[in-house]
Amino acid sequence: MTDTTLDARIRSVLAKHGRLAQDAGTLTDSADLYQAGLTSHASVNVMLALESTFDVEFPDQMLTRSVFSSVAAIRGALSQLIPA
Amino acid sequence: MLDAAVTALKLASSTRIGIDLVHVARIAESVREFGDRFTQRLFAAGELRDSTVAGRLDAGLLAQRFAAKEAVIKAFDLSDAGIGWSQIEMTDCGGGTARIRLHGRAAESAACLGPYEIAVTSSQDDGMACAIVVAMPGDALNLSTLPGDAGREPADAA
Repeated sequence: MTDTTLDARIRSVLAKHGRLAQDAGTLTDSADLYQAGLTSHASVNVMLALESTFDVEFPDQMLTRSVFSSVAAIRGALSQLIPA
Repeated sequence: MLDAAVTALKLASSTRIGIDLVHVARIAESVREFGDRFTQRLFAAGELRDSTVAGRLDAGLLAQRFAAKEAVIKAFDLSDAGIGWSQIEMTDCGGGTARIRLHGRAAESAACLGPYEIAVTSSQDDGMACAIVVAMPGDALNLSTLPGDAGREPADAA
């Protein structure tokens, strides 16, 4: 999966489940998602949607605020979970 | 009298507090959309039992429990501790009261901060649920002795 595809799918999940105050497609990679409106509950929905989108499971150690803090952080976490 | 004042000041400065507010409808939406993946990931088996009314999961009761978990996370600064939500459990004690039980990594992380007595209260009204947690230094911490991925019992346990 290319980075472009990965990013697009992450942003699609954020758009559908993140309840962000701004368009997920226009966020920079490093933009703080919590400042963009992501709540703790929405981050749960984002996590579950990412798991079904990419057929992965976030282990407890990855259930941290920082993992879901930006598109780049999510991409970094997924890169560890998605088989090469 | 000075000793009592110093003790009170130390107690006040060591007290931890957390609060959270949750839309009940959004919890219901998560249950509809993600089903068991949501409920069993976030809630301990006992919490699911306590949130069942007339054979169905009550979104308001789930929302109160979710708010309590987030309040604990805030009180103990656990947002980056890497813990599962079911490791923080709000259990009914009857008479409208509840207590917090911490399991596994959640218990270990909180214990690093010292022994605390944890008090919780929650409520819901007009589509919103809230919970407040106050943790005061004490000798007892609501630690579970369950091993491994504690707090997660079989979903169909009685």
